[in-house]
Amino acid sequence: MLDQMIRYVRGYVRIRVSGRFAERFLNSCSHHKVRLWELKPVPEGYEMNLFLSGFRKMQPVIKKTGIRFVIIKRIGFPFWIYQYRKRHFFFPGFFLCILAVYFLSSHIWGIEFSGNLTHTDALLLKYLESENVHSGMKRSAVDCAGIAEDMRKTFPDIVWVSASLDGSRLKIQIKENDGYLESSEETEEETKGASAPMDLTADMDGVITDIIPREGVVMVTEGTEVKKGDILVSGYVPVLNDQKEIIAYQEHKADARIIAQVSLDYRDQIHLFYTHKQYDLVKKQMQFVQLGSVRFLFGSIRHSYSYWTMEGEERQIHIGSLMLPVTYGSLTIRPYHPDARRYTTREIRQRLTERFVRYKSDLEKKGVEIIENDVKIYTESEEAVAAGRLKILTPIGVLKESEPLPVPEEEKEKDTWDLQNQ
Amino acid sequence: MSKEKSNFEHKIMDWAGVPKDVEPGVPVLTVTGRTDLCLENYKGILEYTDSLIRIKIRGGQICIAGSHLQIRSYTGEEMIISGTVDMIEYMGQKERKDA
Repeated sequence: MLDQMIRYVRGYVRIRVSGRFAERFLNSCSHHKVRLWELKPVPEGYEMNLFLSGFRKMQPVIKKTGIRFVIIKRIGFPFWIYQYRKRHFFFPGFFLCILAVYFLSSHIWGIEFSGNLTHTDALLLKYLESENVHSGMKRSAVDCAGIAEDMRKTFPDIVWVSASLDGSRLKIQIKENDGYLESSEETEEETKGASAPMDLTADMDGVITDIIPREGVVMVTEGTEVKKGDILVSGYVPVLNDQKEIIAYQEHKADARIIAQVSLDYRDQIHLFYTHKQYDLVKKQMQFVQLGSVRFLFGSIRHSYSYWTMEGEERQIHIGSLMLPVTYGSLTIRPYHPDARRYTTREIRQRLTERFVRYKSDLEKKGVEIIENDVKIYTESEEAVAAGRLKILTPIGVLKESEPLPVPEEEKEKDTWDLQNQ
Repeated sequence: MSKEKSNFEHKIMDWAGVPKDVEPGVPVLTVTGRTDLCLENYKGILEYTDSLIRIKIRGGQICIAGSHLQIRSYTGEEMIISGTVDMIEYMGQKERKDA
């Protein structure tokens, strides 16, 4: 394969030699160190391939030996170039194309986000632009590790960021904090002092239903009613002597899974009236093509409508993963007549129920079990309200630095006595 | 004189234990199965058809007979032949008494 490529690049010819001294020609080639291949006997002579340079070298020998030769085929890059020598725009175009591919593949032409739920793409793009990361910048200037680090610092609720280059696209994958089990307060406390004693305290009022202790001294039992701030598991573990008296405390970071039954108020409301948009059949559309920051418009969306909505669509052109700085799309204006309407009772029930179901499924995703619910829908003059109380079983407890405990009295007295004796 | 020199060189090489295939000018013929043949240190082609190839070597000729014989590569150093080889014959040069 490599040999074939070299032959193609160097260029070779297939010739037929004939005459009385055809063998002499072959031996002369060998003598002049001209390589022959695919040497084949044919009636009255031989056919063979030889490099263009070798063919030029053998011209005097051909004349000297008096053999006849015919070029059967010319193969290779030099002949290809010669064939297209009169196409003046071909070669500049070819080199321009190579330059364009080089230029386009050495810059970033698209930034893609994934995993962002609370931060919109537009917000993140704006942030990146303020950090000098934008579409059109050089690939070599992109510091993926730096971007990831800066984003984590700027957005504390983003717990994990990965920035990578995929062709001419910058891919940013984000994981946001779910906010329940890994509350920022907890992580802060965790980082604050790994060695300092920590208590697990209640973060809401409730009745304890289940305890799985892992570290520390459990201060509550099943059925205990706790208020927000009460210590559930203490970080101080007492050390007892043979008389079962406390002589010291070991410092730990309390850890346990504590489930409590908690009452939760729920309230959701919607307006009874809404504006229904009755769209006309007419619409105005405009196409556009954008090269970098220059936008070419085709058509017009000028109008004198009082009420209208505008929809837009934009797509970026790409070849595989090579994003090009060319986008195209359309803008559509649709006029409408506003019509004030009132939700029917059925619609109100349906909408509020849908929202409540979504709220419930969000809670369940966080490991919460709903055991009782008395949420009811009330209709007032202007709005409809879904309100009530939920009884849930939820994991509770946040880490808090332990308050220092007094040294046991006996120990203190003993110390004093020891000092006095000495 | 030349023959005497050659014999002397040969004796020296033999005495020194030099392998035969690195002796300068000695033809080396490598045959792979019945289809491929590589010949090094030859002098030239005497005859070439698709059923017979006669090659001049030092001190004689090598005659290769077979069918569909083809020289795939032909350089100053080596020759690669493919085809179905039926026979390989070494033919010594007739010594001329008057020389």
